[in-house]
Amino acid sequence: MVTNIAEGSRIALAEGEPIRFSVEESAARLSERLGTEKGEAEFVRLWTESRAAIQAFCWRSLGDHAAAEDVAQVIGLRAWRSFGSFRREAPFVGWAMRIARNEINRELRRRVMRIAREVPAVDGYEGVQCSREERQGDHNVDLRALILEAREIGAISEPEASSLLLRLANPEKNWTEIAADSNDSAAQCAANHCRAIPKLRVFIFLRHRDLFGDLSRIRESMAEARIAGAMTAREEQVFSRWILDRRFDFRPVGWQTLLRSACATMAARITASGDLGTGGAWSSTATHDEGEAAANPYLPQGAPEKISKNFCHGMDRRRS
Amino acid sequence: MIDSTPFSDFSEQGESPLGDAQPDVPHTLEVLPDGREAVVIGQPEDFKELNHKQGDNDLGFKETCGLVSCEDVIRQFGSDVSETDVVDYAARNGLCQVTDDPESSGRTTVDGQARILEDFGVPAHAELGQTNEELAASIEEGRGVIAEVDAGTLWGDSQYSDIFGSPNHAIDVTGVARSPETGEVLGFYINDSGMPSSGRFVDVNTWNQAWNGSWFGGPGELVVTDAVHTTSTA
Repeated sequence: MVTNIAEGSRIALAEGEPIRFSVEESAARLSERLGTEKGEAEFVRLWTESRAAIQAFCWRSLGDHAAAEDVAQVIGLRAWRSFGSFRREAPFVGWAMRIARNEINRELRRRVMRIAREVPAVDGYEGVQCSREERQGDHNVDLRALILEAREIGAISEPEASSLLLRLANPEKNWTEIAADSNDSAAQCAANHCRAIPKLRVFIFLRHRDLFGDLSRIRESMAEARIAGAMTAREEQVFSRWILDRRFDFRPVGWQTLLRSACATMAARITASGDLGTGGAWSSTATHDEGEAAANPYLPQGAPEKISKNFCHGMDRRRS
Repeated sequence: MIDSTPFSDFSEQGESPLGDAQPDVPHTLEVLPDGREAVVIGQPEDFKELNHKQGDNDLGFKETCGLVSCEDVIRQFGSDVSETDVVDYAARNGLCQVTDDPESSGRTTVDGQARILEDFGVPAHAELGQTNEELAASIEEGRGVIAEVDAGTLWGDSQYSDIFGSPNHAIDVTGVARSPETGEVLGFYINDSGMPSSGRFVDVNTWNQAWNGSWFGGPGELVVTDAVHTTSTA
């Protein structure tokens, strides 16, 4: 809990470790340091001018008004304590913003720790539509089968599935060559493929989430993505509700776009980390044990070997 | 029988979790200036002709990037207006900055831009904190879009930058380029009345700096029309 800087009170700078802070006490220390009480008035003026921008920055970084307000208070207190070191050549807001960045990172790290502590046991999780073999770690995935399943349940349209399958079958061809095998133009094939891929990622997260690892790994990656600024608070919220909590009634404005972009980000981060497999870099020019590998557009570069190999196997089976 | 949950829950409501909008917005397969192949969605070529250098109005206002962007969007929706029409309307209704010096007059806010569009028959609203994917989605839905950017970053000239990289310029976004292989956003096409440049491709890195590179975490400010363009698929 934090309180208004002008009142001074109890403030929690580290979780579970509240410290006592008195504005009067700090003001006295500040005045002593500066040798004048002008410092206090100057700080109040500068802080008042900058506070809205800093609080807006906190809100954008944390995605939560209440948290932003709390953190802004902490930033104010830290700025107040360090005001003696503030050099007037630079704008105050820039100086305070550096404190803000540090404080926001601290808050995000605290969130990660909280999330890590709150991860439920994976075995107790219900609702994942996957086989016993998948739950036991046998990720023998055939991408073609996934595409067909996505088409069967209406997750992707027939033309989209067709473009995906054609691309899968012809990884070395360009779109003009691929279009020759279809009834569509090259532009239409490419557009269908481009539109289908984000859908397929969402589909895999919704129905075959285990391909990306257990729930705790996904939660950790999600928190890391937020800290790294790779995912917005709104994306995190939608991903968390839909993919982790299976709350399909959660539909804020623009939720479909948020879900697609969050799944793309999460797929990239989880697969790039290599935690699910050997961590070997996966790229369009990489090779696997059954011959030449093809560009795998469904999982971003760096997909773990366990997944990417299986996808490549799927391609090989279909090609042969 | 395959369980299609949660997909079946939405099929009747047209609200698939996959976002199954099938836009009529034209799309073409193009090669970007850097040689990459891209699916270009939107009408950057068609809308090129709607752009012109700002400051072409009877009042002599020069800071009219937002107003020219409004003019551009209004014309996208079929109304034949000029910069003078829009500037004059905005000045008379307090929707742009008017100073003693016409050369520094004409600045607008996102709310002002949305209001101008609405008053000219194109209902629109301002958005804050948007992502590239949300911007792309608006274009893919066929909406008219004005983005607030840092001009210096866009033009590669720091003398035109805001000190904090905050938006100081308005442009129209007329198309999005996506990778056909991965679906990722590769960049956007813009009409810029400042340089001026029409149908210019801005790669995603430059775009992130210009639109989302503010010191304050990136405002991602947009004005988005409520209506969509009525065009046929290319």
